[in-house]
Amino acid sequence: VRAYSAFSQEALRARDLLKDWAGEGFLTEAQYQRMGQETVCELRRTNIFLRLVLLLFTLIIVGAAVALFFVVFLSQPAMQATGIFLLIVAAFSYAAAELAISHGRLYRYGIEEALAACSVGFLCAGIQASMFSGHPYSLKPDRAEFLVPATGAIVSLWIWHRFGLPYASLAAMIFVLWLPGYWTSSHSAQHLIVAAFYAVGLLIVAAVRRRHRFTYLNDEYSIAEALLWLGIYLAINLQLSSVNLLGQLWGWTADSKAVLFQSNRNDHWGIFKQSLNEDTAEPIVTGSEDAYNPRISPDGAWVVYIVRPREAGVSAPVQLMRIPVSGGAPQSVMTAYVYDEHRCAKSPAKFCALAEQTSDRKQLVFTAFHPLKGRGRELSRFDIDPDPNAAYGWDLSPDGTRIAVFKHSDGRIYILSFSGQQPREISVRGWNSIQSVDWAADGKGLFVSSSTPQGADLLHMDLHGNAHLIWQQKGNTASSTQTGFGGPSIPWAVPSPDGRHLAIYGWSLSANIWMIENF
Amino acid sequence: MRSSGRIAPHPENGDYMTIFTRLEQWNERDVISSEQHTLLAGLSRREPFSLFLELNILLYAGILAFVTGLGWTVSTWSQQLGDVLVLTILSALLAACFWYCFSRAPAWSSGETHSPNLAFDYVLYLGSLIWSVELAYLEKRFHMLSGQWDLYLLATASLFVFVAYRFDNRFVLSLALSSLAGWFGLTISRWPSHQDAAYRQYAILYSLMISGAGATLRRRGLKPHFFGTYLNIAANVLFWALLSGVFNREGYFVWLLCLLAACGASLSWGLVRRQFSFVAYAAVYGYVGVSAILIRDMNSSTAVLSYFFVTGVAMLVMLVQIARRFGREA
Repeated sequence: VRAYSAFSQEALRARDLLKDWAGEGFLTEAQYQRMGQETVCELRRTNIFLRLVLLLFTLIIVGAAVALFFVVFLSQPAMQATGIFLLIVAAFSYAAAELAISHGRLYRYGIEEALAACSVGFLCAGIQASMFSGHPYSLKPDRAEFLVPATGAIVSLWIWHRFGLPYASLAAMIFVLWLPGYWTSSHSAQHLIVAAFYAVGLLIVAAVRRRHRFTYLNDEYSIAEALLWLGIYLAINLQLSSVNLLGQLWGWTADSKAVLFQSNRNDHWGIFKQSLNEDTAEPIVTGSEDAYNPRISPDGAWVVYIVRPREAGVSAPVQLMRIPVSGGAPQSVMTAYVYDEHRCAKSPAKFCALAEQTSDRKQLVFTAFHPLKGRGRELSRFDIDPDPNAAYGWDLSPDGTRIAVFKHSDGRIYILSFSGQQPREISVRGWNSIQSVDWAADGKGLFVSSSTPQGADLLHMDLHGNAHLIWQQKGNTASSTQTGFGGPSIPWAVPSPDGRHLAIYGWSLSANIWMIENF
Repeated sequence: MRSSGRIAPHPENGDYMTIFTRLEQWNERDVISSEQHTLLAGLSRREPFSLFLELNILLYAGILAFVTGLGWTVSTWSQQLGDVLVLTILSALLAACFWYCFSRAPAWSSGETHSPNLAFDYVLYLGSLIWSVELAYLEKRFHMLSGQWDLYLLATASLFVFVAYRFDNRFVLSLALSSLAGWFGLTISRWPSHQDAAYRQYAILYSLMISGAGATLRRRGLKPHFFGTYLNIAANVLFWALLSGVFNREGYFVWLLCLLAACGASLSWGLVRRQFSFVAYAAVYGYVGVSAILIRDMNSSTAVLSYFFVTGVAMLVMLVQIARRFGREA
């Protein structure tokens, strides 16, 4: 099953050894030349620099060819069609790698390595797109989606075995890292599962290697064994504690690599940023005042947030502040009577928006503000129920052209357009107690949470009211107007700016009841 | 004659010759002597088992980890430890490292000299890195040069050049050249009317200067094997500087011509001297520069992708031809 004959690879090994021995002075030049003539093999190798450049240009060719095919023939393809096409490309890439070896006799030449790497990448992307892209936020695919990294790991192992590329075993190990995430949310369990996989691999490799101690395969298995030992060490020694955040999710950084949340550590509400790859959060605002509602500015450079004095009521004016995303000195943006909270659009839009209630309590006035320049023009108005118990929520669309507004515990959402069109009413089909609304990253839908008799549901809804369930939280929950400070609150979801991730805020509480008898 | 007294291992499926079989045959045909056969068969069996690579990796990683930990400790605990204690410890470590190097090093020679032992080079790296930590600490705590970091870099570059030549160490030489490049950059940033273009010109000057210095030193027989280090750093700085000119919207044509000339020089140097890193530089930097110009005004994604496909194939064919003619290993 190996692409290269044992004779060829042993001859290459002999040549390498002869070169080393000649360099060390164990062989004379004449001996080296004569022995070299007897170890000639038909495989073509090149030096490391040309190998790397050949690999780079092969990747460019394959990438450009695939993208060109998409642009010319599949301008707006369905995801499943995309997936099938990628699977075909993967098969072609693999066949091309085989051909480069069988006909071109290439050995560590860069070209066949790039083709083999492309085949793995396209295969995984193809499986992901063709089998698990029914709906980007659907719950269903998650259960079987582990097949993607599992296939990646198996095919990488096959390429390692067939072509003898040492880094293919490393690729397989990296694919294995993703597997436990589909089975358990516990970080400790994930680490242990990965370590268990590596340990099994180590046992197999060590057993096989014993039979090849003096052949050309020894080095290949040695590298794999060393990588597995290293993997086990890292898997069980890296931090085993799970993420422990007591905070509320509000937004993402502009690069979609970190979430922003508020947390009441050290007896004060502060603002924190946590990268998706990290287990710990980085403080951004941790002053003596309570800071809430972090939102990223449209240009991605600032975190815009609210400072509300603790003794002031919810109807008191608040200070809107800004602070650089990387940390620094907070600066004031403006003071306002902010209703609910502020929101920010995404670049190329340049503004954030806030809602203020008119003095007669009959309207919400939406006003733009610039994180650096302060208050801007009025965007829209919306008639509301003046009853003090009636609460409203809203969100600004990512392109800054519309606002979605709703009454808490109602089943309708209103879309206000800034271009003068009449407000549009959308009824959420199947749910009638809306608690939060957040625009999807593409502006073509909304993430909506709704109370239910069993708890709360998180939905993705298009702009025609067609909703489907993406998250369910069972048990009693507090309304989002109570913002969960005192107990489990409804979940809500904030999509990343690139639309590839969905951060879901959830709060669950479990307790035991003890019954004591005969006291 | 089987002087080793051992039976050479054969593969179980033995349809090919292992190195042991080959050595036996060469020994029987008197291509190699019995002593050579014994030695080489032992080496093939990894007897003695070499830990050279593993020890080098561990030493290198250990030095990096130690210096990182030292820097973290000093920056975190300087208030509690006190300046005197911190500086005493750093100075003592620095002195110990350089005392070790000076006491163990072979006599200076203008030619290539080898390290007296495996640990020597790593003690030298440790000393060099501790020097950097101590300088950073002095500036942070005492602002001795009022934030004139460029002078620290110049002093560091000078020290590292001396150390590199005294102990024949290319790694320290590359640290010296990097520090010198940093000095250039920081100095320019202090100029009141500095512009990005100034960086480009001085980067070119820097690369010409260090390649000239390397060539002069080589001609004079002063560590001629260092020339490759000078040339690799100079080539990369030069290519980056020229590329930054090519990326300009205006006046890029001159820079493109310079880039093409540099690529031609790098390619021919690499092929003639069989230093294929220079062939790689020419191919990659040249391709990036020319592509930047050609796709600059292309609005159609089809055209851009077609360009990458066609030129990628052309580059691949050319590189395969080069690899076949010049870069063959087996």
